[in-house]
Amino acid sequence: MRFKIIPILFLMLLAFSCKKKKIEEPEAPPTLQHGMLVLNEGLFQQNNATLGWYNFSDNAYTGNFFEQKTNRSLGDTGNDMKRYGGKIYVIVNVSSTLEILDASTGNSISQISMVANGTPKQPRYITFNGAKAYITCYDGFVDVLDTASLSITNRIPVGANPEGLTISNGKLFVANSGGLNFPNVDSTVSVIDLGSLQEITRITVGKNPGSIQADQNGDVYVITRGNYSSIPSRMHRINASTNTLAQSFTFDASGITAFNSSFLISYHDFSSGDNRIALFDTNTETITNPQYIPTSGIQTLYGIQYSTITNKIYCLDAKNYTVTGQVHVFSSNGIFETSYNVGLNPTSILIYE
Amino acid sequence: MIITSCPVFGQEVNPIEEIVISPVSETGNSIQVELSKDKIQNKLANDLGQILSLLPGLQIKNYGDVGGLKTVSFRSLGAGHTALVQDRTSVSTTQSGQADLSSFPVDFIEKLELITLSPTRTQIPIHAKLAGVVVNVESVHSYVGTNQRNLIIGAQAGSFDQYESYLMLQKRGKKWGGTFTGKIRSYGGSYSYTYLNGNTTIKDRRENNSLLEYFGTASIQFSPNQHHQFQFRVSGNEYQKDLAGAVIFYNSNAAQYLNGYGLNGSVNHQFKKNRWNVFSSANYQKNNLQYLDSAYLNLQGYLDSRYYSGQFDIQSQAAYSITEKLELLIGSSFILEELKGKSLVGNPYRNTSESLLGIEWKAFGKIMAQIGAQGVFEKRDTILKSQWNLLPAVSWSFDLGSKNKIGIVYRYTCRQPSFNELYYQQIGNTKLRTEKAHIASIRYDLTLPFKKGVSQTMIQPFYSYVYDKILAIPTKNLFIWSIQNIGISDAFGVEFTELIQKKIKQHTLGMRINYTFQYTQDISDPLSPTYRHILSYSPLHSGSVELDYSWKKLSFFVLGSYLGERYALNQNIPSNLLEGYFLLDAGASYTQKLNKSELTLRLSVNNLTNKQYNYINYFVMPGTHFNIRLQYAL
Repeated sequence: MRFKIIPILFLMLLAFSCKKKKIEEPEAPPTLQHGMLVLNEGLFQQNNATLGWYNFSDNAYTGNFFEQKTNRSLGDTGNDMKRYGGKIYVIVNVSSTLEILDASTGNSISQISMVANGTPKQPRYITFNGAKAYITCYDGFVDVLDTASLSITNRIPVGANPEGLTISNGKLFVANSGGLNFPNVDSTVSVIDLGSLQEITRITVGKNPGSIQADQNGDVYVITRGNYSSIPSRMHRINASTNTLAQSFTFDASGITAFNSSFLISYHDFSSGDNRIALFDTNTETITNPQYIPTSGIQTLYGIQYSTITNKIYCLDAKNYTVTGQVHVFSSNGIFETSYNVGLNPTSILIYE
Repeated sequence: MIITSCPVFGQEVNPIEEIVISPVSETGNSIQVELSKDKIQNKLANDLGQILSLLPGLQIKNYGDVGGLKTVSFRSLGAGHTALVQDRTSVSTTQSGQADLSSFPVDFIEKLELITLSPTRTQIPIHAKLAGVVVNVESVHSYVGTNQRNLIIGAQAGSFDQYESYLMLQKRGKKWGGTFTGKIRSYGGSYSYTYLNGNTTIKDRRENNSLLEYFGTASIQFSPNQHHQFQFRVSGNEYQKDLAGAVIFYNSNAAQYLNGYGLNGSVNHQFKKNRWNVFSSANYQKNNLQYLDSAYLNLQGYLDSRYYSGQFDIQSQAAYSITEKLELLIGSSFILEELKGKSLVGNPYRNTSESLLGIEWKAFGKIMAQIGAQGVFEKRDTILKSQWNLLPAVSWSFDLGSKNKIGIVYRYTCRQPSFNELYYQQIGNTKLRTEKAHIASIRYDLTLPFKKGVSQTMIQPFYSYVYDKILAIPTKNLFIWSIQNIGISDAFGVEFTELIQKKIKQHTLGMRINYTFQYTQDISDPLSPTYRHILSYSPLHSGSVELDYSWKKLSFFVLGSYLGERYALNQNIPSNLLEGYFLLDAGASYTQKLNKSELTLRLSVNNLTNKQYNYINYFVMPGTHFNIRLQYAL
């Protein structure tokens, strides 16, 4: 019967369609040098946060660096990455884990599950002081990690949904966003005494605090992100000695990056898509150059990092959030040098000599 | 009567002569593909979504097993362009703009149709006729239904603690008729699965995935004489669902729940006399939904979002046959929709007025055409807004000899932004415009009878172009996405259906093949890295092959279905690529007649090869599982 050919053709089509494509990636180096580790946030519920390695020697990018080192994936929503001592600490927000890696090889030392009473703590950011690491958790606590034993030793209650944190004057300053209570967000910065590990006060700074950074003079600067419409995103200065709000600035700001004795103040306007990177003098408390870095080649400014190793400024570009991101490299004078293709929503980098 | 016809998938045990090519009665006034009752019932499908995946051109986005969200997309148009009609009533999609097909059991379905154009068919609501495509479901409550039973009672048990029972009572007299159907189902939903985490295979077990759901419908029909028919129908459902969600690596602490109920009341009237056919209806639907997240990290320690939606619609359509070759239809409808909820900005409402002029002209083959006028009135940002849309559609079909038929269809359609897209907290955007689409297709049908059998083939190339596509993108920060009109996409492809049936004495053999090829690409921005990339969750290839055999009281089927590779995000890079999968199901049924009653035992085994798969990334599906059902009918 002439129609016998139809199902046969169909089954052949299915068989050819089932062929699986293999993903080829450059091999991860055994030791890390002359390159850059890139934490890519990925997207919510996609389990596609990645830790990639960019090799400056051959410009090859190993997107599955973490998989090659551990045979498993990083998880969902990589949020922060820092190097401290001989270890790298990676915060994975939705997976609610803290990954600890050997800083010289990238090999896994430990994975800590950040779960309290069956509820994921949703860690956000990490900072260090002495033998302790401090981790903001969205459940309203700062967790204290002993960096030697790698165990959580304390949980310090703070405000709602804490984000950024920084240390100054022997105190830990924590930005309480309250983002999950929108529109009734938090407006405070918690001040924690690092000796007693107790919250000693809260400073009201403005709606929806997020990024926070201390300068060399001991002042603490915090960004309040407002309500994304009528209340704008602004920077404020806290006197870390008196624990009081000292100054509120009137320029747009969404991120603070320490740059030698100054700050790079970044701003991405989600409505217009405009990006701005200003140079801020922490001594005079003024913007000395409103467009320190040209941003015409940046689509969505998602973060800035300055490396004292290379003396370069790295701008992280999330593009449209659903495609391969880029790291744009500028000289310390703000001159564009090159761009690297990395992973989905790059959020943090570590530079290796 | 009909020129643009379709393969009609007859009952497996029917004699060959009953496999008809040209639909009869009013369905002849439309272009459609349909599935019969027995074809549906033998599958022991959990819901409508599982059945619709058997139709060409439809993609079912499946977010889980029993009770998991399932939405339908026709030729990559998006769920908002598909209208679901159940027993003459457009199913309300007020809140999300799309119907959840997992909430529609298939136990009492008499017929299922996929209709691309039906300008002079009075029983399809005007609102649905103006959509991109119509999924028309007729149940035993339909007053033209073919059900002759007075009582159907059945029970089903299946893997993972699935239990169902259902009941139908029906009495039909000369003037009066009444039908009641009810169903209860529960599902434990704890099944094991494996997934790949990097290079490591992880074995785990699905938790927080249970379901308890009740359905009930009562209808009364009254025919005072041969010209008039009235129907009153009320239905309701209530559900309590766990939401297991996507598998999150290292975090299996999902604690989300969905509870709610729906009520639906409708009254309609059909008048048929001489050359007139008039259908009028009024319908009210109400849905309450509660979303609970008991681990939400706000100050309360949980999230409790409740929504109350209501829809009232009234319509009338009159068809008049001017001559035997020319028929006209004119109709109007009015729809009121509202949604209330604390998470919404304001209490949105929308009034929609729609009028339709349809024509069917049997000249130069057959020409069908309709023009719809749609007026939408709603308050956005305290300003009353109105907009008008003219929505034309036309088809021309003709015979090429007695065995070949060709038809061409074009339509312009649009979908309104859903209330969620407009008003949900910071995500909503009250500036949204309607999403528009042009759809065109050419359909070729070939019918070849052979000795004690028949072969039916349908090939349908298509093209669609969608603009002002409504998409979610981050506009405030990565965690706060907003809805925007930014997308343009187009799709081309071909749908293929082949049906072969052969009867040798008491043996009936059948084979059905469905295959869809579609290439759906993003053409929004030439500078974007995703320009001309295939849209996410748009597989190039999908299809199914079904073999069935019946002998006396026994029937068997084997169904193989394939879903091709697709991308989880719009960027077509290897890390976004999801594997295709092939599933194998099989089933058998045995029917014992007992005087006027009959007892039917059905058994199905799904995913025979224990394939570990998911349609949506990390929404893991169960491996091999079975269902057994015993039904008594009188």
